[in-house]
Amino acid sequence: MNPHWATSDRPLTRRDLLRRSGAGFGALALAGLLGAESRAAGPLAPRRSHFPARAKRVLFLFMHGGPSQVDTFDYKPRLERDDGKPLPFPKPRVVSSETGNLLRSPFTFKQYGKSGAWVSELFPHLSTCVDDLCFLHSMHGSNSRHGGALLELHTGSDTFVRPAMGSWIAYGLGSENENLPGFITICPTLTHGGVNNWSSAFLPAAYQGTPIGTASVPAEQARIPFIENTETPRPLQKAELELLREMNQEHLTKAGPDQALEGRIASFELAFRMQRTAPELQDLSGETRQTLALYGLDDPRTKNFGRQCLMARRFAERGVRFVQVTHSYKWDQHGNLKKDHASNAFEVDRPIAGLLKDLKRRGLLSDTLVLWGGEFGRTPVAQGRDGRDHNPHGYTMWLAGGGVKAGHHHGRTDDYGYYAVEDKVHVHDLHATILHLLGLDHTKLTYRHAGRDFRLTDVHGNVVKEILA
Amino acid sequence: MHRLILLSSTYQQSASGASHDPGHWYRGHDWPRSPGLLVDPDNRLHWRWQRRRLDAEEVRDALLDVSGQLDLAMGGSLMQGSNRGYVPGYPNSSYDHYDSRRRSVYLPVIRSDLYRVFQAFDFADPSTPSGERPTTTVAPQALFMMNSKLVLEQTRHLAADLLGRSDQDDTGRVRLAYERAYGRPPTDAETGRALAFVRRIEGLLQREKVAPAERRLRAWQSLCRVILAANEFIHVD
Repeated sequence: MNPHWATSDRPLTRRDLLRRSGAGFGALALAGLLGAESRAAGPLAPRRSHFPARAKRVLFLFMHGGPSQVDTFDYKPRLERDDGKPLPFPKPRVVSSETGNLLRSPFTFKQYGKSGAWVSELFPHLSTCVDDLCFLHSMHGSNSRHGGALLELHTGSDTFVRPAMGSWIAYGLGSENENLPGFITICPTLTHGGVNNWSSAFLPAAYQGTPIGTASVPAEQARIPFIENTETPRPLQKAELELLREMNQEHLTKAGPDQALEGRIASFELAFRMQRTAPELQDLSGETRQTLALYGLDDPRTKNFGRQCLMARRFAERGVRFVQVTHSYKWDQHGNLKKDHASNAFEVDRPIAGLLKDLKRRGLLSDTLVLWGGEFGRTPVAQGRDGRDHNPHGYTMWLAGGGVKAGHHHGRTDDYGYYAVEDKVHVHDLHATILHLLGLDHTKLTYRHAGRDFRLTDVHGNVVKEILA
Repeated sequence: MHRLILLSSTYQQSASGASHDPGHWYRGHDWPRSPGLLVDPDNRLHWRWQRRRLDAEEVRDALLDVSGQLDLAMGGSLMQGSNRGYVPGYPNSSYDHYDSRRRSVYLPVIRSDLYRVFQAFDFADPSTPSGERPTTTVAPQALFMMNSKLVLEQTRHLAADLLGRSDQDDTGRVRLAYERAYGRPPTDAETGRALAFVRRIEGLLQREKVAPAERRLRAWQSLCRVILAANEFIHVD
């Protein structure tokens, strides 16, 4: 029996009834009367965190492909100076591709904000937000290939199929809005682990990520599965649900008390509401022109990612626990670094800055944790003349909002930005920290499967206390 | 041995907690209850059948079966793509050839792009070993019953099938629908309610300016949709 999840296929036990009624025997009759309330015991019912949470939800802006730290947020003057020289220390034993000598960044860096963060010219809009960001310059992971690295970042394991971070969080905390799924991933990529990056693996399927579209679908056309039905007019569907409820009630009366049956009756009403809520959420016509412009929806180059970011805010605003936005497989510059990193950054820079400013002005940033980054970074040494190889040994991600220090820099890579050397943060540590900010102890959020308790962080992970606000 | 098990009264129990003995009509209750419901409501002693929801494959097969569309052919493969053709590479692609009337057991299980109908109903993650499938009840399953192409198509088939039975009047058609979906005839009250519902829907569709023949088909389709969405259909009682 798992303490975190009340199975819904099991008939209501006397113990459950007492626990649910909260007030014990005296409230029994009331709990019986409020049969429909059983929904509150469903898998997505909100649950208390282990300790007070600093963030209520997570927005993960995933830069698929591996953005280069030394061309974005990790400024290395020595790399500029020693351009073309050999790396003065050994390269990693396992590499993805063959690389040559040091390659200076083709982009110029400047300091921004009160915190004086170095940001390259790739992010002119985001550079105005640096005082809200908490940079992790010493990220490192275990896998130098996209597939393994994506899975490690999303699930904590680059070898086995494990529940996604969003699934763990939905399992741990439930959903704040029962009209919407607890874990949504907007336009996710189907490659490099694909569905395993948002699957619930051995956790109950209710915690799987709900994909809205895929990377190959423009954000404008992305929809929640089965949410629309052009064939059945609304009044007709309403009449159907009325009859359905009557038939189900009759069946329930004959069947005796049954939590699963009651839950299913409630689920149709929820679905009917969800059908109204979700398309409304994706309909941006209520947003002001100024907001649309803030996210870059007025520019064909930024509008696709901008729409994803704006949808993410709308979902977050309505209590979805974990929303992921994917800038799909674009950041893998083994070649064409200068041109392609510039166009990638262009596509996301204004939308992300817009998202941060919008969250802030709505008062959402204080309890929303924003996470930005790729599955790894890139090498300071050149692949060809204008490219960089994968580098899981030291790269930058940043956090913002919910419970992290603002305008803060944590950790350091070596003088060239190859290896994380100071205050290293492994992907497991990042996971532990995210859970911590949500009020969950990563060593206690467990699920019993195949004879043992599993965790998002397996047997690893240390909370990065230094970045907690 | 199998005969002994299958013929036992334990095996043949239903999930109902109702009793046929008027002596079990206890004060304060609106229907007679089996003593088991009072003594062992958790059914630890197996005094009644433990109700279960159909599995993902069963849900799909049952939908196709009641509408007369299930193809019971045995053997063979539905995989017609080339080697590795099912694995989305770069650029992103997805597999969408689940449109088959064959039994679910023959449907391909594409790990990178699992059939959404299966996903909705707790199909085990095919990339990892799993000893037990949990049974969850979540809104996307209801959305599936209300809006999915599969349900819309199969209920239309079922409705067309019922209306095509010229040897039956409407009362007979409701009986057929109940027998196919629930394995029992409807009560008189249920028949009356179903027919009233069909008339009501026809009225609604008239207002939507749907042509008369199509109106009748769609009204019956509506009824079929309700019958197949009901708890009695998706659970083994």
